Amino acid sequence: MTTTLTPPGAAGAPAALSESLRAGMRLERTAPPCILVIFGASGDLTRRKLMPALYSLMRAQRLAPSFAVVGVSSTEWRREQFVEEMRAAVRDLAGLRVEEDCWQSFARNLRYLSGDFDDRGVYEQLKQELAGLAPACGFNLIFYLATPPSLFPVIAGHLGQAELNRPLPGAPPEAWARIIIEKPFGRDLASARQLNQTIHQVFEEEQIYRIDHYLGKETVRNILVFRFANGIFEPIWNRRYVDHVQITVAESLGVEQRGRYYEEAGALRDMIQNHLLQVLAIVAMEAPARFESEPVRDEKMKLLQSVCALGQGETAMAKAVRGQYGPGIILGQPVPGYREEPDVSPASTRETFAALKLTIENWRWAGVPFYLRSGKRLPKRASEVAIVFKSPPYLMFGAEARIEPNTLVIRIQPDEGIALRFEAKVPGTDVRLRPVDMDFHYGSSFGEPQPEAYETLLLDAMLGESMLFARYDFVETAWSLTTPLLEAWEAQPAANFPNYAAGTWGPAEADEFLAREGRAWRRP
Amino acid sequence: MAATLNPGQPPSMSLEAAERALLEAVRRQPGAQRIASLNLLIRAGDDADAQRLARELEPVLAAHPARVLLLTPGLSPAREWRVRLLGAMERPAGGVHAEILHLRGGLAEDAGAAAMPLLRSGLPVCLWWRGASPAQAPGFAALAQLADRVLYDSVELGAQGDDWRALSRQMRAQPHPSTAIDLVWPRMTRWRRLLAQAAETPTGLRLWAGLDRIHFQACAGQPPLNAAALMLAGWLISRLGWQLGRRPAAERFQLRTPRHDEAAIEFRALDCGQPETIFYGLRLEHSRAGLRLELERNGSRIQAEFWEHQASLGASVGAFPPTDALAALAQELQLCHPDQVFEEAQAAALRLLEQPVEP
Repeated sequence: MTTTLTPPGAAGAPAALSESLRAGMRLERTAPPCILVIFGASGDLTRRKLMPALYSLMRAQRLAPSFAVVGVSSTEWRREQFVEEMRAAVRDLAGLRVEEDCWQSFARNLRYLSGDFDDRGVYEQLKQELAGLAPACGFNLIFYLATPPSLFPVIAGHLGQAELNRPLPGAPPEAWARIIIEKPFGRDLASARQLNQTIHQVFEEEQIYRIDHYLGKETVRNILVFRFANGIFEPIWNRRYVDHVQITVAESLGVEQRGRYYEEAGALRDMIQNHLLQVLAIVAMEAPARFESEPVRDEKMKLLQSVCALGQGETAMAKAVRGQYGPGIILGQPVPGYREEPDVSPASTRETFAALKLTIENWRWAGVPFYLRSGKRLPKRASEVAIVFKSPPYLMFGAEARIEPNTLVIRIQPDEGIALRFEAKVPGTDVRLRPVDMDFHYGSSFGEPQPEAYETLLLDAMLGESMLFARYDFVETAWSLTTPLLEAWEAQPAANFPNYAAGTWGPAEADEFLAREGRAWRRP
Repeated sequence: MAATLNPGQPPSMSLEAAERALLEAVRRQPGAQRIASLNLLIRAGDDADAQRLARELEPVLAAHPARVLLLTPGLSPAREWRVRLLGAMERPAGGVHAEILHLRGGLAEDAGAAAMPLLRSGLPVCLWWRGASPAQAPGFAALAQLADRVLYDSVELGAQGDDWRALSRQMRAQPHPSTAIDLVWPRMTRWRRLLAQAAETPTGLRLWAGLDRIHFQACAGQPPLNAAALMLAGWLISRLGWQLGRRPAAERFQLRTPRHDEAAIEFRALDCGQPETIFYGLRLEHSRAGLRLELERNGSRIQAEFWEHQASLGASVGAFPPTDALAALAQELQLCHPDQVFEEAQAAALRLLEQPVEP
């Protein structure tokens, strides 16, 4: 736990001093001094997620006392308006209690620049602002692109031209500049490659943090701990014992106000290409050499490279099912079908449900199917990974005994936890079996609240911990897996949409898809 | 939020019956889980104290599911120990995250033997010693022998100045000294973290490069050389590598930096308007540059402010929830192995105190 002390007076190295003072500290991690520049500072993401996360971190003293935010947006606000808007967002949208003295302390270093993202002058102005702040706030810079993806290349290009892709003049040698971008990282393989190339012209890969907020969830991270901090699961985590794996992300909500976006995206792009493939990689990868960013990301990448391609056209379509919800009942309330949602075409053929079967060609998983599904307007919100084990080779309890396979379920949300289903004898003189769940709930086992995903991820980016961020090669490989299916579906629009009622577990074809292989979807 | 199974005065039972009764109690709660990560032994004063502890431990147990054994010896002249099941705490989700048993009655010397059969197997044992100085309590040795870690709170035990030195020396002299930790240490973690953060800012780096004066501020009415200030001072001295020189006054010390520059620390008591607070602030100075950092606690807030000569360079305010004994306990239970930084800080603080005052 402790480090060898290098007295700063002797070594004079700031890093040695910092390390020495931080040694053995029990409290949570804290970020080094830095300035965060948010592009899209008047937008929804900034109001709902970023600013509340930053205020919470600041209030809990997990940011440096000199931490500063520069908001950049095309909205014509003065600084005071920006501060007031952010205060309202923290209070009203995030529901946090704004404490006056803490807020004043946080707001002291909030700055705002309005201008067009394509205007070179904005970046010169930004550079001046940063140069003014840096001597007191530190020279480390993070640029957060909370903008539509079409602006990523524009902003990155201008940052490069203004030489903001590197620490400011006069910065100490250990200073850094980083950029955070939000998904979607492209809309297919070609556009993802193009985006990566454009950003790589300005920033090195180690400067780039691609946020997939799903990876900031506590339970996703706990999968790594569950798998690699326990000795009993890894020996059975393979083709010899596992029959198949189901990964489900079910949402009870519809597209809400995101109809325009969803018409372009669909379930495969919106959820499976990123969140579900990330979870798949964490569930199935080999043990990394160290619990550090690059070894973990290397193993995830190796796993994804082992996933068998879906093929083209009909071949790809045979390994997947798509659906679109019609009107139905959710939680006792009637809800409209997808085609009746705002900003959605009445004849839309965009999928709101997708399920597919993937196989992994490596020694551990050969022959074990991984079924992934995600959909909107399903009966409940539930995300889980179910590892379904093979049945015992011989059943000695008589023909009447029906034995369900052991299943290990990792619940990601809600009610985060882990459950193991196994057979038990019903008490009595007869031998009767019944499956029972041994259930671990985070909420009742540890009473501490789980951190917000954005708090975790922002802090990680400030600390330079990129384990929970997507690397360019993972993004491109994920697109290379899903793009053939996207193209096949777009070439042959579904004729039977809508094909499931809101409030059901998706189209009948999804059940038939598994039934053909002698399996059934788990009901989360 | 949590409920105890046996509010009020639960029945008393033999040690033998306790485990069975606990199982029965848990069985009555549908969907209950029995999760524990440690055994926590706590010395309780009397029945009322045990009941109060059972209630107040909830936030600690939320982070550290445990079997808790509260021990109150000496309630009966006989050697017999009896158990009351004070609670199997229930969470809204139906789980059970703590089992609290109150062992009472027998002789203090037998406390270890009484607790032993009720420990959950295979889990570490932490002893939180409270209520009386271990030097005067015969049960301490019996329980400390069972424990992997011994936690004590010099603030709660009222040990200041020479009493604190004697207590610290006694705990360091235990057979396994590295397992004993003073809860005043986690009480100071937030201060340590603030100092570490401040040292990383550009102004902080300038300050630390020439740091030569530190003032530790207790509230008026409190001893300036209180345990909290001493531990923080010990920590800073050990981290900065400062060497002791002279002690011109009881509360003033001259030291030498690794560069052989003069440095000084001073402990003082000031009127802070917070009589319940022992330690409320500190001031660090780079006197040649006229640069200083003032950290001041005000209720549940902390303010950090840099000054250059007489001009403020800006203040930062954050939440500073009080670290009471239970919060300190919760924090300390995160660690399951010896803490070298604490030991170095405590040793440095003891060297300060033991430095003779110049005539």
